[in-house]
Amino acid sequence: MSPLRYILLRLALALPTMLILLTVVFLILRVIPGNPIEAMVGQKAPPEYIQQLMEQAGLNKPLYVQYLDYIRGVFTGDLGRSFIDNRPVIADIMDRFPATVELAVFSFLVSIAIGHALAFLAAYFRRGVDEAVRLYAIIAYILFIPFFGLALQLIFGVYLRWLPIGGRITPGLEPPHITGLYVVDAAISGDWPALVSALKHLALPSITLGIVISGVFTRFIRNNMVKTLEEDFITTYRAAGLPRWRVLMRAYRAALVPTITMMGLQLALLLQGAVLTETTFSWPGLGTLLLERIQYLDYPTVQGVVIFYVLIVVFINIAVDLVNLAVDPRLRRGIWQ
Amino acid sequence: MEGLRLYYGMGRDVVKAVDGVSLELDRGEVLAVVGESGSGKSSLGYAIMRLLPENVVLYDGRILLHDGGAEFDIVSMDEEALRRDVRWKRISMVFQASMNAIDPVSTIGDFIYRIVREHRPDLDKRRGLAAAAEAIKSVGLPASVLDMYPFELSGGMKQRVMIALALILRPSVVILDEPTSALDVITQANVISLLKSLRGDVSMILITHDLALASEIADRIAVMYAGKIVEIGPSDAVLTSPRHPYTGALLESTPTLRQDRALSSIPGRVPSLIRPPPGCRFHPRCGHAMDICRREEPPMVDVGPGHRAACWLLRT
Amino acid sequence: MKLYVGAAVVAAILIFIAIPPLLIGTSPTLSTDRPLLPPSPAHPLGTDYLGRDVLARLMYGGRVPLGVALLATLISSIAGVLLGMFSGYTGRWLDRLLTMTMDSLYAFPGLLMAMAIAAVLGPSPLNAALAIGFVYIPTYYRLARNETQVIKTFQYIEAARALGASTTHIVVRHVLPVLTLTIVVIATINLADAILTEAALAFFGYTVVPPTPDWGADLSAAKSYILNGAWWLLTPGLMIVLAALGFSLLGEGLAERFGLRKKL
Repeated sequence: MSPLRYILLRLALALPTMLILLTVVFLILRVIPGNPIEAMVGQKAPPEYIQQLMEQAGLNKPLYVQYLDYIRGVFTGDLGRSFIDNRPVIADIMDRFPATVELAVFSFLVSIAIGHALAFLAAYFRRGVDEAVRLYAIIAYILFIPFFGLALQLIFGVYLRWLPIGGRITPGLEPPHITGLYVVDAAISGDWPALVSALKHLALPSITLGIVISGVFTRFIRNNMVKTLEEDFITTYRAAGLPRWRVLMRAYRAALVPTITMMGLQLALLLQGAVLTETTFSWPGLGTLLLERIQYLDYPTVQGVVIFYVLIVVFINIAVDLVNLAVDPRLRRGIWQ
Repeated sequence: MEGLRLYYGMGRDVVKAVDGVSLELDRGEVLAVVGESGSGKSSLGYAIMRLLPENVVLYDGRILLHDGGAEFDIVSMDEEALRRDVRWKRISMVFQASMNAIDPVSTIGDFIYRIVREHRPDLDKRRGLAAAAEAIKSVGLPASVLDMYPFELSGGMKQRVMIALALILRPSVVILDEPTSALDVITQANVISLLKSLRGDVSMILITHDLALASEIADRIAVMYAGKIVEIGPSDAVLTSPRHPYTGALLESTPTLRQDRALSSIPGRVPSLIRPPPGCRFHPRCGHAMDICRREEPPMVDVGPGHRAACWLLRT
Repeated sequence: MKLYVGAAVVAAILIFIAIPPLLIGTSPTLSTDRPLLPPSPAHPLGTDYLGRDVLARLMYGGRVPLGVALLATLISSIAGVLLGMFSGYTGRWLDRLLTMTMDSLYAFPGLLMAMAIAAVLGPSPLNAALAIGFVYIPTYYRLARNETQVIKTFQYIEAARALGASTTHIVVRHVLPVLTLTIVVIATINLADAILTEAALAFFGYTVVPPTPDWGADLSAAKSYILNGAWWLLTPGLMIVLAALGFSLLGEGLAERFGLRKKL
């Protein structure tokens, strides 16, 4: 089977999962008691007005019709319109998405860097270092993000004044809008002050989220390495006189598939951790959008954001599968080549 | 080697896998170390290579390797020197075929080159792969194997790859751990003839439970039991006139193709390496056990030219 | 080692939140002094932005987080294990459907789902427990189902079936006991997660309504004051971390002690 066919097959197989998730999202927001329009407008509003709004929002149609509209909407990119400002939900999402992407990417990098470094140290030195690293992994994950974030803000932002405590960039310094990613846009346009400001603002949030996520990651990589180091081919390399660190690299390379899969899971974790991080650092991303709109019971937007997250997770999983195939020849058996 | 010991810990117990082994190996000869599973023979192989497990508790003795005018004591030498000067260059090992001893995510070619490059940094990739190709061909495999991954190879092919790899730097000693065990009979025959063709070029320590294999290839045979060598001598001598009861029992229990007597086996079970029997370790299963056997370990005594055994029966 | 430290921390925290109401008179909800006072003998942890004693609020503020976390864990473990056992034992299309659903739910960002549910249900500790409980069901489902599939193959199950025992009987009397230890250990570790999730929900205001003391909610309310120097208002966050840490270590310690290598 050619690579292209496999990719298409994989995408097709992801559909049932997506449908189930989308259905769950749909049900959660519909079947639970409460009339969103009423809640938003208040019970004292005239019934005709409420009816009119409900009509507009399509909430008067029978459930299965709503469901079909909903599914159709997802696949055509129409996620409805916000109850608040009547803008298309997708527009609101795309406004905020770059901010979350930046935060997620930088946090991811921090987490991977810490995770690998500590895991390798643990696998190389073992004993004391290993115990310390394992303890770190447990503690890091438990650090409640608002608490950890606030503490860092207090230390580095207030007492030491090294870094800003909130926002994406110093107001007024925004780079020209190309992708919406300040770091990228600033780099492309050569806007040095914008780049520096954006990076400084990214520092605390990504370190906070990165460290917390690194807890899970460190532990996983370490366990993976230790397990792989018990394999027979490692003995061959040792017998053949390869230096310890090179043996570690070969072990890492052989266990790359679970590592990459784990990285994919990390990204999913990042998306939810980002909500807490965005709130703590006043970061204008999807997380804060979600929170705002939940408060106003703006169902379409809330639904839209959740769907968006779902789709991202599904696509990350597919990407992970494909990368794994490229990386580990054993998985290609019978598929291609 | 003299008095080689390797103990490792399992929970609160100490496994005395190799408990005072003394052997000698001459240039160009094949020495077979024969024993049942649980005799410690595999551990002996690793001990000679100084491939110590994570849970090692004791490792001492002397292993003197005389090669090219230099002398190395594998047990006590510095780790870095061992890795740089001795490992694979002068002494290498062929692991059991059933093991996943080849890097699963590399092609055979990359795998071999990676190891060769460690000791021959002067060889670039092209020359390194050429050397690998030669080694592969010399064990009877086509050069196309270099582009394949281990999971694409059969057990026999992998075993040959391991042999080719072990020989590629032309070491003076190669240890082979059960080279034919996981293979079907026909492949076994191929591997055996390959090994025979290598005799003389390199000295081999062949670790096996298969007496028949030992008889075919080995110049000398050492019989191992419960972490100790109980008899050692030239193949013919050991096979035709064994002087230790265990050796005799092993020979008796080895089935032959044209057998008309019942299969015999050695009564009892392989002793624990954690709490070996006191005195002579074989005494619980020995038909000739005497009082002294239960109390004191018999020393090695000469019983013929180059032939030694450790049994109290020989003292009388 | 972990076990004992964990157990000690958990015990300490439980004492911390349970005993004080009987001993200390300071009210956590009434303003007793000027706001934002730093720690002093009168107020060992200072006062918050409404002049309430922080230490008192800490002691009372643990009930909701721990109560919600415990309830949530009970809900998800009971539901998840029951579903998992029956699904794993019966097999066939029900199993396939359930498993696919659970796998999909498992991949979903849990906090988001809990937030969505809690938001719709309305702010109350019970609703929070339901939301969090729902989110963790797949964890227990998977565990129970996989283990059940293994246990199913054991001979005494066949014997019971041959004797005419009903599915329910077999599952409850024979499969469940085997699972219990693992479930308890996983639940302990999961409890730590539940505490953190409750804290997050409280932080967003989905758990309690003021003036009920709650570690997460208090931390959220104090955000701007903390950044203006009232560092003692960080203590609710510290409690959250300690509580979660205690249960984590306890769970991990139990897992080590009983030789469970189960993760996931």
